[in-house]
Amino acid sequence: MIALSNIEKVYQTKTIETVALNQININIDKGEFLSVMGPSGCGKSTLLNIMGLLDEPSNGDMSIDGENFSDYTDKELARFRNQNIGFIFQSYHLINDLQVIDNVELPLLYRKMSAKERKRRAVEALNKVGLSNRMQHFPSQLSGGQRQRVAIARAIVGNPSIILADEPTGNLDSVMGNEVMDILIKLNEEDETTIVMVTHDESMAMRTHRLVRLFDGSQVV
Amino acid sequence: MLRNYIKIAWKVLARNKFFTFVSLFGISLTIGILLVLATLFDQIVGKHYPVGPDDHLIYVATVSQEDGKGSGWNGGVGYYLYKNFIQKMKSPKNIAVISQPKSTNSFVGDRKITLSLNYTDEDYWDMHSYSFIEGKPYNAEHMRDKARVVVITRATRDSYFGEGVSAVGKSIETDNVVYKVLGVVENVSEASIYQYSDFYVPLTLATQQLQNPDLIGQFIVILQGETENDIPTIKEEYKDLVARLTVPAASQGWKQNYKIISSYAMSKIERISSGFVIGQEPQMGLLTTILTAAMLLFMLLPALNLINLNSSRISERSSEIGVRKAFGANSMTLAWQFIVENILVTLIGGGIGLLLALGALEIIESSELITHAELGLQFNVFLFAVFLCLVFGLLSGVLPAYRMSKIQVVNALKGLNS
Repeated sequence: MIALSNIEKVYQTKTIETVALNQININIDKGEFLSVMGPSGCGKSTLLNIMGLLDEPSNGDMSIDGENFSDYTDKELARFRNQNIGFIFQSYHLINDLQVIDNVELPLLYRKMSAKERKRRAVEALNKVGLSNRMQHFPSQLSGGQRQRVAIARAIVGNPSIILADEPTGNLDSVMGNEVMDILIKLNEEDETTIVMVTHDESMAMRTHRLVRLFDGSQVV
Repeated sequence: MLRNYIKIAWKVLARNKFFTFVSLFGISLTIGILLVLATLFDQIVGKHYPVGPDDHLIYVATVSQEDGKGSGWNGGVGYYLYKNFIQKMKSPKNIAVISQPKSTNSFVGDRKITLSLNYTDEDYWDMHSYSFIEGKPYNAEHMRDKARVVVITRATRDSYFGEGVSAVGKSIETDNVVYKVLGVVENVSEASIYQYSDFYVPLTLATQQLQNPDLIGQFIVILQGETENDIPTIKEEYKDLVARLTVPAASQGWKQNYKIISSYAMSKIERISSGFVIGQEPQMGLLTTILTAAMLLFMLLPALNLINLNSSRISERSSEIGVRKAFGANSMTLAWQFIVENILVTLIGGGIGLLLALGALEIIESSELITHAELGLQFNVFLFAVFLCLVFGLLSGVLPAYRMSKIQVVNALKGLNS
């Protein structure tokens, strides 16, 4: 489903060149739950950003379902992300000024959809993460685990085929982390959603189908 | 989507109370001042009492004679020109004349009342929409008989006879001449530059002015069209008429040196566009350019302030920008969201500005700075306010919106502004 071939990412300034990713080759199948591990600064998040079409590789090819994105415009990339990819971030990135229901609805704002349908789907997504009783709350009124569950609801509300999770349990204690992990596993098993998760936590990684390790931008396993 | 934008805009406003105050203060003050100026401008050029909405009028207010070497003389329309040429025009539905105002004094006991006296013909009353509190205007018979009758305003009646006291049939004396009051009309605003008066008397009583043999004199001629569409034809006919004019033989010798005659039939706004320079052709394009430039310049400073504030807010909203982009908002959508938010802010500022303007106009009205002016906000001025808000919103929103939309999503999620 996701094919990465000889992916390189180099950050260049006037004086220094930093290789963030070097010759990464990964194929991820549909319905697979893959975890990416490695020390801080090894390029995990950069890799996830490239898979999520949020960043471009310096070299190499990346395709999703055979689709190559080198010629895509900003608008086309945005539409593809909207239709196919859900994101979960370590620091949640919820909009504090909006209620939970509005945060979850956000991806649907960029689709042609009635307000009623948007609300129905947002409620359904919140049901899946067990937060339908917190719809009118603001993110600041929720615990860390609840915020991450809202972020998961936002990621799944558009029924994407891929979820990219950047350290989704990184800011949570083990109990809340496991709760979030349970939800992700359930999504993967029940909806066959392809999930790529960056994590520092070995025990979480062990719960996924496959583990890829990075070190200094290179793939070591 | 719009509801979401409104919610965000409102929250952003509520979150930064000081910034919001500074933004709204600048916007509302600017829009308030512009609305007051627009209302005053509208009072002068718009159709206000006693000009009704269906009164399609243009004015010949000035005539000039020059020698082509920079010398000349000028003034209002001479009765000779009116009687022998303008009154014979074919295209106007109606033609009337009113003299330039003359200041006269009346006395009630020891109290002196200074009045503005104007001579008019009987047609003057037909082409306006005066509101008579009592009595009626003078007619052709009064004119023919040179009857010493007068139509006074409510304010004149109240100060001369007492407030609310009926005046019709009574005598009123000014500059030692006694007139019989024939009618009382509602007050006319001083901003109605060609209609303002306290004391309207029949034209035939202005004996000295009627014998003036020159093209230039002390009258304003009012030309009425059946519809607004007739106005260009009337202007054209008047232009042809002026082109055929020659200096009357009866004019004094020195006046014969000034053979280049100019005069235009103009609306009030065209008169302003001619810069009130007598003999100058109306220049609506120039007036529009100057007014637009002045308005934009006036709005520039608060707009720059808002641009600055908006730009500084980008950093606090970078996470939101990143999330929206990640979940499918393209740059254009985000820019549009920001512009909509900004327009909302300016509409709120505009609303406050509108209230400020209403208060200021109330003060101006009660201070009688412009005599008898009723400075209520007109619907067209209100539309102008909405238009100003939109221009303001766009002016101050586009640049920050563009910057915001260009932020790389990865950087935005990291809280960076590039």
